[in-house]
Amino acid sequence: MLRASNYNIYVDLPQEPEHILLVHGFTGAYDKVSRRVASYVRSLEKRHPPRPLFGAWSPEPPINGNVAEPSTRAIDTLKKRGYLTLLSVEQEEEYFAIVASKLHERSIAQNPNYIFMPTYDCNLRCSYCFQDHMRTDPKYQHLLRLTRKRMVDRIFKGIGQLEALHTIADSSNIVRNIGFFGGEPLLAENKPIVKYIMYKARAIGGEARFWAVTNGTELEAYKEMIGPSDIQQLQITLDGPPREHDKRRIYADGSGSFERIACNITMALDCGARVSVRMNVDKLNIDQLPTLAEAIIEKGWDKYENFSAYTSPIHAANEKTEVRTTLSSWELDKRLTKMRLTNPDMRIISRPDDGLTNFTRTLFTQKNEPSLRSTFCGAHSTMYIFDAFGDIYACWEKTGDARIRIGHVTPAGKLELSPLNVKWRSRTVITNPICRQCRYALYCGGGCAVLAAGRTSDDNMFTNYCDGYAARFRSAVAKAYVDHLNGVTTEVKTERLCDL
Amino acid sequence: MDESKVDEIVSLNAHDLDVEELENRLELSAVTPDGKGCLVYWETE
Repeated sequence: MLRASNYNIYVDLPQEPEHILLVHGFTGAYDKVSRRVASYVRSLEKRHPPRPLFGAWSPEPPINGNVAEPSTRAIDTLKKRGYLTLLSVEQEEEYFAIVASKLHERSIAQNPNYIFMPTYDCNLRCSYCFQDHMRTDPKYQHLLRLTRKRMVDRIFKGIGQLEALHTIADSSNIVRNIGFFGGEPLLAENKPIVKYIMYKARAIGGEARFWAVTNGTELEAYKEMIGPSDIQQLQITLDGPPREHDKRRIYADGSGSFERIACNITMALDCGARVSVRMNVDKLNIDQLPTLAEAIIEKGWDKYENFSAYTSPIHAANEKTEVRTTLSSWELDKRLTKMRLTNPDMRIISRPDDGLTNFTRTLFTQKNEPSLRSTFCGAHSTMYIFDAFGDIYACWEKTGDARIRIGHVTPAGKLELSPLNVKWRSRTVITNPICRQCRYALYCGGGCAVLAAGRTSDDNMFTNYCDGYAARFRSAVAKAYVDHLNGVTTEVKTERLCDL
Repeated sequence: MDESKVDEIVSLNAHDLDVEELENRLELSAVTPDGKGCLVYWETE
């Protein structure tokens, strides 16, 4: 019997109340239909979408009165695009699982992405840092050592074996994305080892592209290594205007870091690197963002093509951060949208979902395909993170503990991947029952595994983390449609290296 | 609303994004019935 697909998404269009935008969750189709056609499709829904484990879907509007059946031609098109189906609920879920598996198969077959953590040490003591314990608890002192050259040699031997596993036929002809993360990777004292890693990456052939997540405090030491052909992208955090930032991003002696970082941001922009300023936001500093926007404009950073700024909600990652002070991505997005109405300068700071809006608008303008994903991030596909001990991790939020490593490179240079590699790489939207039935799953990817596990009593990553995604998706798609109609071409620049 | 357009379905992105095209694009016929036939997760220890 013909019924509505369980993977239909209905997006209200604020400027066109007589129309609805239908989005299909796995064919990737986006179609504008009359409200009457949408009501017909919705009238054939067999069940209400499952409730997420956390948060709630916004309620669907009720269907009033009799629903007229559209023309045969319209019904055929709705079937073809996936909105109507003859499959049973269970058969369609199985079909969805096959689609997701195939997407995942392609994803894990991509070239690996590498991240080096030269050290877990850092010169700042930010209270909300998820690695805070490594620097403040003497029992983790042993972690703070710097990677040695012979360890880099060992890791590169392991990289060769990894690429063989990824069936890369000609590793001399590939592009390798190599990131630096920490601790603080770009401390001045780390420069020789960072330089050596870059040398080794180039020496094995192919092209190497470098990026770093850095606090920016000692970046001046790396000046000649920053630019389009060296470290070409930097993510640097500012947690507000100088006074607010200097309360949060502090040195061990309690002094602030804003001015040093600001000088280095200007230097990096002048060198031609793409600089993405990240603001970690909670309820306590969100009102400072307009002042930070003013400071950015005053520094002239917004005039650089290679500059962007974005916000990210602080998560309660340690006991020093109170959950009641945090914001979800959806709450943050809404607060920033409101702030933009009264403060035009806020346009230079992107909201959590500006990337999704921009991407959807390009679907409409360029008529291309959406990017469907079986997982939330590279931790479940191709990301390999190496630390100073030759240990390999899948996610940079879960490092510094050999018990959770996904593998390591032995002193003899042999790559050993553990069953935890299988565990991390197999978390997809079909490995928990909520995501399997979720119409948004292939856009969301199931949410961050670390945040999902953090909300369980047994650290179970095989759950979902919704973070208001349904509402965020519909809002972003509706906005993209309005932008498309209005011919918006200038976009808010959004570059982020991790959604966490 | 113009009654003649009430059944109109306007594709906003790629016109060929439908079930058949999805099957071709993802080569779904090559997938085993449990949907897992092609996945390879590496474990060397």
